[in-house]
Amino acid sequence: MTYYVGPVANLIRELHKLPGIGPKSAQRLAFFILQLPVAEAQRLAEAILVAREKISYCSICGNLTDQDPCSICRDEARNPALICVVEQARDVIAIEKTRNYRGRYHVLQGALSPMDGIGPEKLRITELIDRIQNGGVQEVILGTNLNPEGDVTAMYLAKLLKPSGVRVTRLAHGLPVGGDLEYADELTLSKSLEGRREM
Amino acid sequence: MLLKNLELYHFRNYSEQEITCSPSINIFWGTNAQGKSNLLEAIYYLGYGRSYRQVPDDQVIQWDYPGWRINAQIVNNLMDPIYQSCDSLDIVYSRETKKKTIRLNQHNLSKISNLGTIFPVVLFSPDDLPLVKGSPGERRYFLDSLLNRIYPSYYKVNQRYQRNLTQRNHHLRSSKAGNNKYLLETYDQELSELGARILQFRFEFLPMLSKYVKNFYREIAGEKAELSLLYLSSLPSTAQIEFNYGPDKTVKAVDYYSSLVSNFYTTLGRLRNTDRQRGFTSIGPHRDDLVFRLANKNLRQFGSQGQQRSLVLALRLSELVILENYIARRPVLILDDVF
Repeated sequence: MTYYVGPVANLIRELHKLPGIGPKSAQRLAFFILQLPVAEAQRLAEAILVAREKISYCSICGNLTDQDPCSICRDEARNPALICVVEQARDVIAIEKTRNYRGRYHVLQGALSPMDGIGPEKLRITELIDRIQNGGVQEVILGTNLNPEGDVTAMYLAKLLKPSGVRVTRLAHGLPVGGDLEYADELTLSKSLEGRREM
Repeated sequence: MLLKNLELYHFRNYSEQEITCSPSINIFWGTNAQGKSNLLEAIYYLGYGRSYRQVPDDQVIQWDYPGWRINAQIVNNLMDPIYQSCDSLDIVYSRETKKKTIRLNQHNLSKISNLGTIFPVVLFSPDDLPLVKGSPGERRYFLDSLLNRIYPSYYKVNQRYQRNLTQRNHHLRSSKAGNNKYLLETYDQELSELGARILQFRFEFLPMLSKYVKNFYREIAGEKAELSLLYLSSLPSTAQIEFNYGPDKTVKAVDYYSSLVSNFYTTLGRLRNTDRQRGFTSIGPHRDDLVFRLANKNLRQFGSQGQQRSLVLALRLSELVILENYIARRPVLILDDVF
């Protein structure tokens, strides 16, 4: 970093901390920013600051929001009896893009992973149980990822929620839409056999 | 599978060497430290993408050179009378980039494990004795790597099992393990389902392995007593299973699965306190072993040096035949210092 004068070096170092940004990309971004008109750079800096200050987690569902409760939790048209549990705020966006889901969400902010020190107490599980105990919930859809951690989180929640009597469902595993049977691996195929449906 | 031609550049003690092989058996002889094993190591590299001596890629570079390269002309179809249709297999390693590139006919290979079907190799070397004498892990490794190559989904199931096992062990060691019954139950459930699948694969496969090992051992050692292969399971009700080949004796895997799952699950539950104290999962396919017995004596402990070597060779030859059956190509057999 001795090639750069102090402020440039600082900028590169900060950009380098972002995910997916290596030293080369950080340098390219820094030089791009330095060429911007001052007003433009100001807007970028402000956008970062404002987003960071205004955005917080929704106290009900844990999604990112600028108002508490978030727009989805406030939306009267959405079915409050249906909750989809996901790991991250970006999963909410993925499901919203389908425009097929009219229930509400619950963002856990992670998945169970003892090797990373993430136990049930680190996730927003108590909040989920409170929501269900407050009544009105009929079905919980477990939409955690389909990797080992996501699966374990889903199974754990299913065990935990069973006594409450609500219906607990899991997103289907199996073959992708447009997929060919011959290319599916045995694990995927056997999962989709287990989850087959009457036609 | 045939190795027609081999070129080595700055690999071990070879600066530049070209070798043309004969289409049947090839014998390399010479005095000590001439590089016979190094040559075999290079052939092994073609089949596995790594050294069998468990050294990193940068340690096989000839002293002071920036990298090494192995090029081989391999022939797939031995029936081909003109013996012309060769594939060119290249492995290049550069010390500077620390990168190993594998190319088949100039196309980069995405996965090293693909080499297993492109140029299958089976090796027998003096360093192989731990397969019989060593810890159970050595024999599980042998079994797992063979199963991985035969059933592609075995690898996935095993990988998932190992992942859940690591998570369960971390959970057992964390201070909160005591007050969360549900989480441990969840791991138990996942482990028992995946573990039962692993056992199912192993049980389906073992009768065949048993058949070949017995026959090869008889041929090599010429002993009257029959060798028996036992699977030593850490699950109580399947504690010892002897595998004999035959339609009546093969375990019917399908109806077996659910009983394996419940057996595994209840045992995990019973050992929960022990596991918590020890900080690891004490039963499961990751703790199992293969036992070879001759006249009721475990060859691992009581076999003579000669018997143990014969058994290793029998295992390697079985590996060869089984791979040949499954991937429809006869692997290249490398025998290092077999006499």
